[in-house]
Amino acid sequence: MNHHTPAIELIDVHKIFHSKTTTTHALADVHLQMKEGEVACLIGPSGSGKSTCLRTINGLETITRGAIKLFGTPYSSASTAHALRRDTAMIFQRFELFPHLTALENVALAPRLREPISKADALERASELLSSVGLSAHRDKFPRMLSGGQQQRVAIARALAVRPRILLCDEPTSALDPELVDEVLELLKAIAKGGMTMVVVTHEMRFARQVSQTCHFFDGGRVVESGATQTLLDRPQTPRLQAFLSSLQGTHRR
Amino acid sequence: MHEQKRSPLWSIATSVLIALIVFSLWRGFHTLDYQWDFLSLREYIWVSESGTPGLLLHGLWGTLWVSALSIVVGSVIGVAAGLVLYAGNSFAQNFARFFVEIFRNTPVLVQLYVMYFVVASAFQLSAEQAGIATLSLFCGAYIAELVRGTLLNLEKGPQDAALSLGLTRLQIARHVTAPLALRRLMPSLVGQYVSLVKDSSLVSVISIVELTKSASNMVAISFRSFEVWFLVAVVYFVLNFILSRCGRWIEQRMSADLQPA
Ligand SMILES: Nc1ncnc2c1ncn2[C@@H]1O[C@H](COP(=O)(O)OP(=O)(O)O)[C@@H](O)[C@H]1O
Ligand SMILES: [Mg+2]
Repeated sequence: MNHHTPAIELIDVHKIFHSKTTTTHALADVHLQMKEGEVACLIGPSGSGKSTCLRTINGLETITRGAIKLFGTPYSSASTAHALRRDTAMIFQRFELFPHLTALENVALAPRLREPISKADALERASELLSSVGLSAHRDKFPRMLSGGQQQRVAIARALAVRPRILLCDEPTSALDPELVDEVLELLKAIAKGGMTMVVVTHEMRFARQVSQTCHFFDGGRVVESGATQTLLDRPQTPRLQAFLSSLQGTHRR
Repeated sequence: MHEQKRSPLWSIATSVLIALIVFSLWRGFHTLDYQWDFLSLREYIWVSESGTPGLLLHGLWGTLWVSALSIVVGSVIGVAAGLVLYAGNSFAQNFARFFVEIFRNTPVLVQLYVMYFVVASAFQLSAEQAGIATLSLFCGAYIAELVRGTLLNLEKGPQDAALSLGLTRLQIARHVTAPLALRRLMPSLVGQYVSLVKDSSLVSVISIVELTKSASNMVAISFRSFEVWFLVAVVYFVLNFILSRCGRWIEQRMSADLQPA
């Protein structure tokens, strides 16, 4: 792999949702570039297109216009989409574990189906991952028996089990009770330290400062401001980002 | 687990209801001034001279295999049509929609007659084949609608998660969507099967030997219509009770995660 090829490249990406009554321009004219090993945060008000952006990078949404390349390969057909999706894994706001499978089975399912390994090997890998997120004792429990923080940690183990090159996180702690937020953030910090390429949508500005090198501010489907995280958060240039950051101070910790 | 949580009011209500039923039956029997004789029905269950099954058992066997076949074929048709309704192209969707509406909005009895007198004579089908075909299509039309509704209302999160893990559509259908949809579907599916067992009595009109047909024959020979129909009702009840219980059991097996630890 050429070192100068970006891990993620979004070129003039537009996404329009059509429904019976409305059309929503969820993403407009989005340009983004990320190096391998880089951690980027996406911030912005609700409805600004952050989730949609992550989902297009993962091929969960097709784009209306523009191009998305992962390690230089563009999403062009259904088969490249499937191949590219295998390089990425995603953490969802609402965990989205498979409710009918135990924690262990949740983690083992994708490796078992995707790779030429035995069921025993898949379970072995899943078991190791669960202990690495501190959940050995809960491996045979079903998702609904676990706390939100535990469920999200299972989801993280499940994502890592496919050995992704890019990890996408969509507000990984927004659905958690405040006392459960840190256990998940600590885990994500450790993964970021390990050199994973990550895109994280978050409202936790302290966390953003600690893990990310770059930060992109979304508003109304556009990237309004981009830059190094420290600079962007300390010296916001646009009035909209200034307003957004000061609105966060009231409701969220920094 | 549900039973244990019910209030004492529930058992009082049930007791009152049972008492009411027993009372009305008892009163009915008295006012009728009818000499009940269930024992005379023995030979319809088992013919002791020849040591062979009687009319009732013959009928029961007919009901069992007609229902079982219709349930299996109807489920296959229903799932296929339901998948088409959910995700087929618009031509296939219109076709499936047409089939479902026809069979859901006309009486089974009429369907049976049409199938028997028109379709069966055109294609040289036996009465049994016509009967099973009708029941299967009828049952399939309802199941199709259940399948479509279940898939439509299934939460998309787990499917998105599976997609994001790089699984193929087929793997997702097999390991995520199907198990989640099936257990959601189970209660209404079993309800549909119970209906089908009862509706199978209608095929007696095209002279297929099953419980209801046997019962009419038994009445014609013995003139014991009250006893016969009472007995037949009990047999249907037992059949469907067993069916519902099996469904419940399967449903619980499929939802291990929903059981208390
Ligand atoms: N599947 C969808 N269908 C229609 N509109 C959608 C869909 N997903 C998102 N949107 C719309 O796109 C816009 C951006 O949504 P989203 O990406 O979820 O924002 P964010 O994650 O920043 O809160 C919103 O206006 C939302 O209503
Ligand atoms: Mg969002």
